[in-house]
Amino acid sequence: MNAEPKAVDVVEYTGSIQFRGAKRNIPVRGYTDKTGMMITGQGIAVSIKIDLARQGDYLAGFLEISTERGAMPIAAIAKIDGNDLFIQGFEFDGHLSVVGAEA
Amino acid sequence: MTTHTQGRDGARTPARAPELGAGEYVGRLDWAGGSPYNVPVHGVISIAPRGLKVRLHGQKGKGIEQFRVSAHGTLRQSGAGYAGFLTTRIRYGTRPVAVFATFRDEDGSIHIDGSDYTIDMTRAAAHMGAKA
Repeated sequence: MNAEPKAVDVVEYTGSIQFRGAKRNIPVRGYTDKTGMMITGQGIAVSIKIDLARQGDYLAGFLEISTERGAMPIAAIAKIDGNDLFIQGFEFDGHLSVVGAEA
Repeated sequence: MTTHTQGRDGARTPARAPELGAGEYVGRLDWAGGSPYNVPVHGVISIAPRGLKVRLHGQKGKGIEQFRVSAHGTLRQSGAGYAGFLTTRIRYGTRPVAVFATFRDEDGSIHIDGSDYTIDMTRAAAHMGAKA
């Protein structure tokens, strides 16, 4: 029997996201694959989950920010540039690098 | 009207889905890739199932100097935000570009933020009224 094909296109990233209004920096980590990207992170009383669809080096979708008062989706986009991944949305932006390739 | 809230934890988030204005829009596209930076555009926005259908085009210059842009696609809505891909033709051919869109309640304008460009448009009717 053949084993499940290995997901060789999965790339792991780590970095942080800054919320400009709140002046808050949340460390995040996650991965991209052929179909999109999933990243999670947790700060003080704030957790985030980003689930973006992918077309080429571009990704678009929604970041879900959860606080003690509930969850709120925020539109977001991202672009893969070599070992870097830049993400931006309403009042936030972030930079992640391929795990092992951090500056 | 407010377009965001600032919670106890300091996080600013869109307050609610804005009053959506389907119709014709005019504005400009600012391309980060090089000259010309500002291209006048004309767009049509319509309501799609679970989202927003966007179609716009524009041009600048004449003859061999003419520079054309176009973008179309459907942006998915979640909460007060819209995000998705616009099939964009801009100088070097057609490609999908990830964008997110924000409506401003104050003047009914729309701001589209892409990886390589931004688009600001206002309702065509309001534009005509301002001209008159």
